[in-house]
Amino acid sequence: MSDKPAPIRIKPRNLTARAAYKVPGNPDNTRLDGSVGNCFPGLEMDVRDLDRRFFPGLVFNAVRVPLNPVPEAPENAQGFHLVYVDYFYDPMLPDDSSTPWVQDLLDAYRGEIGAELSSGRWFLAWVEQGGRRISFRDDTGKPYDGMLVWRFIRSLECGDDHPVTIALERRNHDGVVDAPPVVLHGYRRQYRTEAGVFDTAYDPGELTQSLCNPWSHDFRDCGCHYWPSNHPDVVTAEVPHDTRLPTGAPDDPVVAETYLDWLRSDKSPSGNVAALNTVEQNRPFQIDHYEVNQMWSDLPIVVEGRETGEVYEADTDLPGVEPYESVAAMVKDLQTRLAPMEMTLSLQYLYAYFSLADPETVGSERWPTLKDDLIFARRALLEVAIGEMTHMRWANQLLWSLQGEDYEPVLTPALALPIGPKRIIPRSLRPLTPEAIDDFIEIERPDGFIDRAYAQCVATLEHKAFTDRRLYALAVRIDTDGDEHFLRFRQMKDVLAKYQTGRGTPAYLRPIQVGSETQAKEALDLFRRITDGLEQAYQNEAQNRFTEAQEYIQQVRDTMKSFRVAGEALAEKGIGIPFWPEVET
Amino acid sequence: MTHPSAEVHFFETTLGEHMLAVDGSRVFDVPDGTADHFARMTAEGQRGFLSKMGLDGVPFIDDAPPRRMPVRSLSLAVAQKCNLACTYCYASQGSFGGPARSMEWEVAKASVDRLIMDAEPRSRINLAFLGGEPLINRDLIRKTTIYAAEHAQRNNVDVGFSITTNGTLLRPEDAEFFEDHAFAVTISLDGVGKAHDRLRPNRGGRGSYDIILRKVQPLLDKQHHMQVGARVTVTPRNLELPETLNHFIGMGFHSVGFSPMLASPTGREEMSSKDMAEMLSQMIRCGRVFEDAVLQGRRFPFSNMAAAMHEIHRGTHRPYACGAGGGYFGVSADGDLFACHRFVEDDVAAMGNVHDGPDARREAWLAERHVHNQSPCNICWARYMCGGGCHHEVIHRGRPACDYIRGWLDYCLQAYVRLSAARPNFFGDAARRSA
Repeated sequence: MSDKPAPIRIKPRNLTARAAYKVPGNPDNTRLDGSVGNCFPGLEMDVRDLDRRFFPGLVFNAVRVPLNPVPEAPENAQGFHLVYVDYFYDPMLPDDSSTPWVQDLLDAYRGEIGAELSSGRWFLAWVEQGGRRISFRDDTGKPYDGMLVWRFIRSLECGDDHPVTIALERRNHDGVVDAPPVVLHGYRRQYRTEAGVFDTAYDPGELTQSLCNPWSHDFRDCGCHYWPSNHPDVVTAEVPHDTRLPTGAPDDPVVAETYLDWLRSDKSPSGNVAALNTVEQNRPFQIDHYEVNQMWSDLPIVVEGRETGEVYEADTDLPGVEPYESVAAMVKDLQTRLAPMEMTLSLQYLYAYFSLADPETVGSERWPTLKDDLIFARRALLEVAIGEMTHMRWANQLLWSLQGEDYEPVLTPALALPIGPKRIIPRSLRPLTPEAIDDFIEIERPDGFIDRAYAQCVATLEHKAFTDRRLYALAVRIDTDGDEHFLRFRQMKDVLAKYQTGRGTPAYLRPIQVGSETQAKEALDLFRRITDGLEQAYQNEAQNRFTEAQEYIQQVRDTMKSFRVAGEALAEKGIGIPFWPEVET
Repeated sequence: MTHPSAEVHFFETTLGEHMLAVDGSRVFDVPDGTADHFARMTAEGQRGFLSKMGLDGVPFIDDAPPRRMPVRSLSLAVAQKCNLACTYCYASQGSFGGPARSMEWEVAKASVDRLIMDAEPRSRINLAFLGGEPLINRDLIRKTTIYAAEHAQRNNVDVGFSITTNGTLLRPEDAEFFEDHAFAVTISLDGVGKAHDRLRPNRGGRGSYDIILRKVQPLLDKQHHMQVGARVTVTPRNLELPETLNHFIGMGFHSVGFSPMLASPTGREEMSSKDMAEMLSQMIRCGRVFEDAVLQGRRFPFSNMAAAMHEIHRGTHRPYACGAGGGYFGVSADGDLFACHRFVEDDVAAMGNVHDGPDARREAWLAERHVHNQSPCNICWARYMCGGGCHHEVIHRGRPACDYIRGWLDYCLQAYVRLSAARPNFFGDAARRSA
C-alpha cells in the first residue's frame, strides 16, 4: 500500500473537534442568491435604515402617508421625521475635532437648537447641495411622502467637495409649520468606512430593525424584499448523501431534480410533487397563513437551491474527483477544455435565441399566449447565454490568476461538448427546437457532467498551498452555478410544448438557417469586435489595469447592443449567424 | 517539532475507530483501518495525513507560559498539625517536617485581601482550608470565612469555600456553618472499615473509621448548598475500589474520587507499577459501573470519571496538570506562598508571601513546569489531558504512573464515545454537575 493518504472523512465528536472543524461557509465573494440563509435575491438589511442617519447627529424615519388615518391623528405626519438628536457617539462629530463645521454642529446640538429640536414634531423641510435646493412639498404645499423624500436623500452626494445644508421644520397637530426653520450645515454620511464596513454610527440591530419576521402571517404571501432572509418559491429536494451514486449523482434523478414548492404543507416524500407554474396554482397546497406562525421554523434551510436536512454537508470534493496532478495540468484543461466549452455553450444559446420569433409581431389569433411565452422564453434564454459568458470570464480569471504574465485570453469555442463520461455531442448551431431544448436540458442537468466540470479545479484549489482563497471561492462558484440554467430550460420546455402541433415549424420559431459569412458580414464583424475587445479587457484586468479594462468592457457592451440588433435583422430574413463554419462534424 | 505520531492517539470501541487529535484534545470518528494505515506511514506521510485532516493549524497550546495571572485560589494551611498519624502523609503528620503551628488571623485576612485585590468584578475566587487538620483551628476558619464572604459581596466577587478534613473533629454545628457558606467538604476516607483504619490511625494507633462516619453523618444529612465528597488515597493496601466506591456513594456522598499514593516522605505505601496496573483495572471496573448508571439515567458520582467525561467533551487541553503556581497557591501558617498545599514549607516551590503576592519565582516555575519542557511528556499523546502529572509527585518521585494515566485516559476516551453516542444529553451541564 502506498503512503498516499486515502481520502477519508472524519467526524468530529467533542466540542473542540466540532469547533475547530473547517465548516464550509459562505466565501467572501458569495452572491446574495447563493449564500446560506439568503436563497432568493434578497437583503440582509433594510437599505432605508442607512439613510435615517444621513446627516451627522440626527436620526430620521421615513414616514408614509397613513392608509387609514384615525380622525384624531395629527395632520401631515408623512415625510422625513426627526426621531431624535444623537451626536454623542457619532464618528463624524468627534468632540475634539478642529473642523469648524463639526464644532458648529456640536454647538448647535448642545445648545438651544438641540433643546428646540427635542420638543414638537420636526421634519426635513429641504436639502441643498451644489447650489440646488429641493423642498419636500408638492405644488399644493402638501409634504411629500417619506419614501419620496428618501429617494432624494439617496441622491445626495458625499465627500469633502459636497457640503449639504438641511432645514428642519416643526409641524403642529394640524400639520402647520409653527416655528422658524432650523438650518444646519454639514456633510452626508458615508455609510461605509474606508475598510468597507458599516459606519459605527449605526447601533447593533439598527439596519435590520424594519425587516419583517418570518413568524408573521404574511411571510407566506409577501413578495417584498424586507425579510431578514428572503424565501425561495421553488427548491429541489434534499438528496441524502448515502443515496448518491459513486459519481456523486443522485440515484433517482427525477426526485433530485423536481422543483418543489418550498412552502408546501405536505413535507412527506409523497408531498414532493412538482410545483405548478404559478403562485396561484400552488396556493392550495401551501401551509396556510395561520400555520406559518407555528411552522416557520420547520421550513427547510435551502443551500444552492436545494433543501438541506439537519446538517449541511458540503460536497465539493465529490468521490472520485482527484485534484489535477499539477497547476500546469489545470491551466491546460482550463485553456483547452473548460473555457472553450463555455464559449461554445454561450454561442449555441445565442444562436437559438435569435431563432425565437419576435413577440411584438406574432399574431394572437391562433395562439393568444404566444406573445407572453415568447417574452419569457427570450428572456430566459438570454439569461442562460449571459450566464455562460460569465462562466467564460471566470474561467479566464482563473487562468490569469494562475498564469500571471503568461496569461493569454481564451475566447475560442470548443469543437464538441462532453455531456457524460462517454457521451460527446458535437457543437451545433440550431434553432430552439424541442430536440434542442432536450439536449440543452441534458447538458445543464444538475450534478451532470457540465455542472461538475469544475470539480477538479475545486479539488486542486482547495489545497492550502494556494494561499489565495479567492481562487478557490471562484472555482466553487463556477462549479456550483448553473442549476438555474437547468430550471430555465425545463420551464422553456413546459411553456413551449403546446406549440408543437406536429405540423411544420412550431409557431414560436423563426425558420432560420446558418447563413454564409457574406450574408452575416455585419454581425460577424461586430462579433469579432466583441471578442477583440474582451481580449483586451481580460489582458488589462490580468495586469491590474482596471480602468483600461473597464473602458474595453464598456465598448464591448455597446457593441453587443449593436450585435443584437444585427442578429435580429438577420433572423428576420431567416439567416442565422455562422459563429463557426458548419461543415465540420 | 513533535513527531507526527505523538500528535494523534487512535482507539477503538464497538462503534468503530476513533482518533484523539492531541492538539486541542479533539475527538473524531475515523474509518476503520485508519490507525493501521497511519502506523505504516513514514513521518512525512503522517504529516501529510494530519494536514489533510486539517489538524496542522496553529497549535492550541504554544510554548509560552501564562503571564501576570491573577491569584484565583488560595489554600490556607490553617493548622500545620494533625491528630491522625496517616502512614503516608505528604505533610508528615501535618507539620510539613517543621514545628507544629497554627495560622494567625493576620495571615488569613491578608490571604483573603490578596484574593479580592486580584479579582475582577463578577469573577470567582476560591478559598480552601487545609492542614494538617484544619479543624484544629476552627475559630480561624469561621472568622476567615465570614470575613471573605462579606468582602467578596462588597466587591461584587463570587467566593467559593472548601475544606479538606480527616473528619474526626467535625461537630454538628460545623454542618450548619458549612451549609450556610456552601462549602465543598472533602473527607479523607481510605476505604471501608478496617481498610481505612490500617492507613489512617490516630496517634495512639487506633483506627478512625467509626468515629469519622458518626461525625460526618450530620453533614451528609444537611448537604444542600454544601457538597460533601469522599476522597480515597489508593495505596497497595486498599485496592478494593468498586466496593469502596459503591459503599460511599450509597452513604450519600456527593462525590467519591480516587488518587494513587505516589510519593510519601517516608516512601511508605507508595504504589509500585504492579499496584498501578491493578489500580487501573479496578478503576475501569468502577468506570463500567458509572457507564451503566449513565445509560440508565442514574446519578453515580464517581468523580474521576465524571470529571473526565466533562473534560473530554469540552476538549480540555492544558500545558499544566493544575493551577499550582499559576492562579493557585498554598499559604503556610506563616503567610508564605508555595505552589500548592502540598508544597507548603518546601523551598523548591516557594514563591513569595501573601502580603506582597507571588514573586519572580512564579514565572520561572511556570516556564519550567510547562509540559513542553517535561520529558517524556513532550512526546506523549496524553500530554494535554494529563498536563505532565502532579508537580509534587513528579519532583519528589518522578513519573511512575504514566502507563496508568494513559490507560485510564484511553478507557475514558472509549467511554466518552460510547456515552456520547448513547446519551448525548448527558454531556454539558449534566456531566459538569456530577463532576
